[in-house]
Amino acid sequence: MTLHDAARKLLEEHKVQGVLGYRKGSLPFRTRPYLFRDPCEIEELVFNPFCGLNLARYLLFLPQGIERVAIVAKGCDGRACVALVRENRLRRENLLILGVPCPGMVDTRKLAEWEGLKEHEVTLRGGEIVIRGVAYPLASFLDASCRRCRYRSPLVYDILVEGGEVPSLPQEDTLRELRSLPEEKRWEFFRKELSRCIRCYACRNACPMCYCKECFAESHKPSFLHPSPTLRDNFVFHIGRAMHLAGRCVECGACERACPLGIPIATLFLAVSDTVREHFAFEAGVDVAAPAPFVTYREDDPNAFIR
Amino acid sequence: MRLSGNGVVATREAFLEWLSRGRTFVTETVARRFRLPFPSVPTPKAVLLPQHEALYRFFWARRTWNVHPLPPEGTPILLLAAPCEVKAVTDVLDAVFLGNAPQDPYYATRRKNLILGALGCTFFEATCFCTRVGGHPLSREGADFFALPLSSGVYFEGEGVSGRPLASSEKEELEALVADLEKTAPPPFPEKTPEYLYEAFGCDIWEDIAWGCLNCGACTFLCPTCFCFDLALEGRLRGAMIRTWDSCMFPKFTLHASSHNPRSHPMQRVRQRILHKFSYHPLRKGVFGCVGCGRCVALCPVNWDIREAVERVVSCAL
Amino acid sequence: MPCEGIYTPCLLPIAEIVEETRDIKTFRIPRPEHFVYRPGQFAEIFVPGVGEAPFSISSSPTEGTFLEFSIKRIGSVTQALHRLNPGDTVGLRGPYGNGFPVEELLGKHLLFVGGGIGLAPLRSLINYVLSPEHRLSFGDVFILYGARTPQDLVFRWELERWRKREDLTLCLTVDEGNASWEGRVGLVPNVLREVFSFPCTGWVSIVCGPPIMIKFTIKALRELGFAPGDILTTLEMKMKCGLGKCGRCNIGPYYVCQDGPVFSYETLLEMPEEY
Repeated sequence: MTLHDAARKLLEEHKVQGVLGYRKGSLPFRTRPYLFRDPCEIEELVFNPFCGLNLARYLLFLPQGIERVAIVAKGCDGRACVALVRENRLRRENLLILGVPCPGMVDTRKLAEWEGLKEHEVTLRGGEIVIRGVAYPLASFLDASCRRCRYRSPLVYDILVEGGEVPSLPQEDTLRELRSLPEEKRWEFFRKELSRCIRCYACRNACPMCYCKECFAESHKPSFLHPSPTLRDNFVFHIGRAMHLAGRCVECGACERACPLGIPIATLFLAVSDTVREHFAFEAGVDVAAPAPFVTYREDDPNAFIR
Repeated sequence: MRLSGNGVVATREAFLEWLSRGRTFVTETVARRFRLPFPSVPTPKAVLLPQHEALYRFFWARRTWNVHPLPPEGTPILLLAAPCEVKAVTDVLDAVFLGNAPQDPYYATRRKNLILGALGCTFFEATCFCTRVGGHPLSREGADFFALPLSSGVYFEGEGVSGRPLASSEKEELEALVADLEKTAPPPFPEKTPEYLYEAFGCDIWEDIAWGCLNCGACTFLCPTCFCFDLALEGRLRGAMIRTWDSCMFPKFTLHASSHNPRSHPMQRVRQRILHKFSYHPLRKGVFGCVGCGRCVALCPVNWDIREAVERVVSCAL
Repeated sequence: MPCEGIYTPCLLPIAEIVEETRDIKTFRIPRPEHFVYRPGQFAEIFVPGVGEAPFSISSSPTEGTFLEFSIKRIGSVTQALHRLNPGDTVGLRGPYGNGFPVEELLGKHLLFVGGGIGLAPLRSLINYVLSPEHRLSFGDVFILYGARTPQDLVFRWELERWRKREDLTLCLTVDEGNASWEGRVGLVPNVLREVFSFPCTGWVSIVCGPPIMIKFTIKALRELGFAPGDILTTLEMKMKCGLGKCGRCNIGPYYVCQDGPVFSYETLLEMPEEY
């Protein structure tokens, strides 16, 4: 079944009260989240390589009257759903995961070089992106989080949409270069990038796993950091968030795409995810039943860091 | 005030040489459109109202508290901005920090030291809507000088750059540009938009309009007119009172100490942002609090478009 | 200490602290010469190392060289204030806000309705009106003041002083009385309907208290025949600068810190209800 048919059928048969999906945006190459409630609207539903937002973020902010909702989920949205269910934020039975195989999300900033580029001038063909008739390898246009993606289709789903073309892209270790640098250089990298942060909290608010009622960043009693974006406070914010997301980050890269300044902030979270994977053999949002890494003791923990 | 046509044409080199004489910056919008060899700032706001500014120091010494005001600072700066960004300074920031007694000495000092030039726009980007809110891509209103790149050089109005009078072919080029912009200009919002929006406060479409907005501060922080700020103390026994940008999108913005929050719901905060720009500020000052630069549209993580929101509310009120 | 710049507070020693109730204290500080204020205005008080918050001035400008602030312990700044002792230093900047429209009240009879800590800004105007130099410029004065329990009444010594005066009517009420309480028991709006039995021509009512009390008191006043323009109240809003610049106290075309905090009910009716 195609995505549209599946979504329309769910609404028509009242299986769900809404379908969380993407709709064409007001600018070229932009999509926006939309809650489809009327089957007639479904023709406006889109899914393309410009759907970088993680829709699971909206599952915790549904309007009143929506009890059961379907979500158009690429691999990382699906992982966020699983992680939210596992953290008891959502009830699995109220959620219908409409899995879509993901081609990888194009970093729209990389298209800025082509002035006045129109949507019809860009097409995908296998592992290539064709811009004004010239083919380029798709991988070089994808976000860092997509280039290393391990799960392009959701692992847990209720319906898996057919027909989506998933180019087989190599999993690239996007952090290898940074890791190979000496400590001072890595420090220099983060210092340079985080000094640009204006603390608009777009990264946090776009994150499906950042749902605290009161974020430590804005807490007054006690106050952990100053609201103005000094380098010191920026570090406290981002490292604090990385710690809070350790073992919870679903590696979607929505934070980085949300950043209005283009700070490669996902680097921090992807690195932490790698650490958790290495030391705890755990990936967030992969298994609903898997116990949280930091609150469980396992005989077979790799725990090399303790020995 | 549109360009008068009385300016001169200078060579690009002469113009750049003149700009290079002082500390010159360009806004990001200008930097994106024209390759100019100057450092960029997000908007003029970042120069006039920096995001981190210490207003006074305090410290405990000799068994007593001391407070030392930090004097306003300002070094002469030349900033080349788009006409909409110039309008943001003259219509909104000046009105709040200078036109509303008492004047803000920090802003006033920086403003006095700022030479603000408008670099005319030759086309509308997909996000541009200055003509919807009373602006124009060729407006030199409020700017200290006006420049416009032509095929043969740089058209310049103001003092400082010398050149030759416009040739007839250049006059034609200007006229053609004006005509072309006229044709492609987004039409203005209805004249009574502030009143319509004020009346639509209780309209039930707000929930729908606000849906999707992440309630982050990207739009407000990068907006050239958003001026709301916070005063927050840094340090315990010694430190400073810091002025920093704040955003009506943040839940803590209006949270009372008693835990009462008049705008606790995300929808109310989105409504406040739109109404402050398109209703409250115009009702108070007679001009829109938005200059249509489109940065909020371009930089929004979820493509939440303020133009559509205003249109929808206006049509709800009509 | 000189006060330079519009954001810098001047440091002053606390002269006296009066414990009003278990969570309200009145702080008396010397009034700097440049600090000329009118009843209903407020000031920003700075606690070094903690922060700054706005408080209405509860003393009257007619009272001389001191300023008084009656402050309830709620947030971090007020908690820090409550820990201070006489002689400790606080910072002050202001006065801010429009204050009560004293000129428009000349010759009017005044009905003051206060609840809890809401008596603080009213006290400034009441003592202004009662001062020998102004008393004859105003008509009758009626004060209705209510609190949760007798222990929650503020300015008790002041209430005694008012009670002894013959040129005003004072009526106290509590939501919940105790064995020694001889006053009325009942919610302010209900008591208002019982005790205020005159035709309301020539009267202006000034209301201040918790939001819910203000709401129902205004309803009662309307029933008693008060026109919206003859009801004055003060709005509370989160504020930082006090100068109409920082933007957070914006409601409709108003900035509460500059255009308020005193508004007539007539103006409130036209405002978006977000306070």
